[in-house]
Amino acid sequence: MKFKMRYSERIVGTFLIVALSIIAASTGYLFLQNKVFEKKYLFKAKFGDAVGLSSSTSVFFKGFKIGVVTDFILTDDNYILADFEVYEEFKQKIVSNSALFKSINPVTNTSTIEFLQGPDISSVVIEGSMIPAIDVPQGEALLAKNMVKKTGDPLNTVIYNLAAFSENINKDNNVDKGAFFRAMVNMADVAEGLKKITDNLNVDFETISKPDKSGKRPLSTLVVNAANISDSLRVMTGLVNLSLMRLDTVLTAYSKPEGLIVKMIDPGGKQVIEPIRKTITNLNEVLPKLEKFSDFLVTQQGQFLSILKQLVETLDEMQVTFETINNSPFIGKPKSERKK
Amino acid sequence: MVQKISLAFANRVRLFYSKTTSVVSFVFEILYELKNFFLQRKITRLILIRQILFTGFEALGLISFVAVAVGGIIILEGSAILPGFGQSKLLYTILVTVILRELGGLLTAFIIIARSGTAIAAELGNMVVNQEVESLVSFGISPVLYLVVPRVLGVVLSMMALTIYFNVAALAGGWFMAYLFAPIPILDFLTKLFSEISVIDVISSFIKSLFFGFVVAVVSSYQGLQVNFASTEVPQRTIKGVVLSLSWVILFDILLTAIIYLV
Repeated sequence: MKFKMRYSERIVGTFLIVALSIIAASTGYLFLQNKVFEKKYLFKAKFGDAVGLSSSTSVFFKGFKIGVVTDFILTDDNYILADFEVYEEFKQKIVSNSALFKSINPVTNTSTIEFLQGPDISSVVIEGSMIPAIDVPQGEALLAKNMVKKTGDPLNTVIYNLAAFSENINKDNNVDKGAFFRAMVNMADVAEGLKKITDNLNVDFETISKPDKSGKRPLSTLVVNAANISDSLRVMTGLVNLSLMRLDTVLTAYSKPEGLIVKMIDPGGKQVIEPIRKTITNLNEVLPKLEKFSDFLVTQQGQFLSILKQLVETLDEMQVTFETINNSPFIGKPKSERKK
Repeated sequence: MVQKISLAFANRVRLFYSKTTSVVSFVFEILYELKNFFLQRKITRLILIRQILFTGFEALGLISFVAVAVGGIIILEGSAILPGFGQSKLLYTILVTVILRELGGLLTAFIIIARSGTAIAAELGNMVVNQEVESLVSFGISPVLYLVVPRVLGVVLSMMALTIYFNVAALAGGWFMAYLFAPIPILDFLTKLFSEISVIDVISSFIKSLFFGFVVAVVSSYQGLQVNFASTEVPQRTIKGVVLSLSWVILFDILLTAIIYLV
């Protein structure tokens, strides 16, 4: 303690100076690392979307950080126009027919941008030139013409390929191909159809359950509608079963929507998860209505039997009446054709 | 009944107003006396140096131990979870985010509140009880200038230095734990680490430490000087100082984080 008191000034001085030196050194190193004092050249970039993009997203070329995105806006034609700075030492790498590839980490949703250099390394472009990303038409054209070769780290390449694969199987330009997306749409359509039928069914039942002005129930409507609905339900149920069978394998693969593969293929959940969710929602809505239909039939069973009994009795009476009329010598058939 | 409630509410409002104005005037007095402190630094220099010695230097061992442990734990937990989905590189991001942005400043503040905040409140409270503060006033010496300003400066400087040491020790602890799992040269570790650190992280940690130090010192000094005459008030005021310091530090942390990273 005496030592501390005696040399308190030196101890405190060293304590503070070392701390300040650490912060000064680390800040200085960070300034140097981020090339804060180096001259930078501004270029424009065009992206299809801004997912994972931030005002400090780095631009890499062959593993080297060559610049950083500084700003980005949404244009009138719904593309993302970004400004990015390129450090002086890499300025010569920005040549004509170059493109950018934005890859997104599916877990962190952050992106890195890879600069894809054009074929002619001598045609350096001027500051302010536009470099398209490969997710916009200009970039796609460069990729299609083999002007740029998509490179990047292996994981990003796998993700990119999976995304392209997912996009292709979900495209439904030709319905005869039976694409995955068509199956999903069919499933959703069938479920929607089922929902409409049950909606109509319930409206009819409510109408039938209410006696009309004369106090009678519209029996004929009930019978006709019940027959139609029964047929429709049978067809629709068959379609649902068929669709479910076809989708069984796919649904097994997608049984864990939080899984990494699903995240990589369908990060937004719009291609796969959303149609499945829609289908399940529609089926869920249908189930209580079918239950209601079933309950209605159970409660009305007694009335149905009574009506049918009356109908049979009426038909019997009508048969007797018709026979009487038929056998009548005044208004019936000629004597030779009468019932013996 | 309504009259009673209204009266109680009015009293509450009056009390809140008087307390707020008292604290605000205390803060302004400290800021005003800072100027005089630098003019008459010879008188209070020793108090300042001893305050830094007690608050900063003597807490270095405890701070380093906690920091190394926290850094190691973060790497340990991260190593158990992140490689499972191929995101080992996020270890550095998590280490930097947790230590530099948040835990470094907060844990240092908590330790200083526990060690020095309580000491300042109790010391000043006892000085009031022993009428030492009154004696200073009778000699024409401002108690704020002589007692509070050196303590505030001392705690602010100590907090700043300790936060830096905490960050360094925590990152070192992280490297040590990472080395146990997969030997990685310190230079590689530092390169990867610095690629995740931004200037704003360092500046934010620095600014936060200054604010936290000021809050802890002001709250503790204020509570200490609020003791009237009984020695039984000293522990009560000390406890109040700790609780208020913790609350204000957390509130300032939220506020500063929002200002620095969201605005």
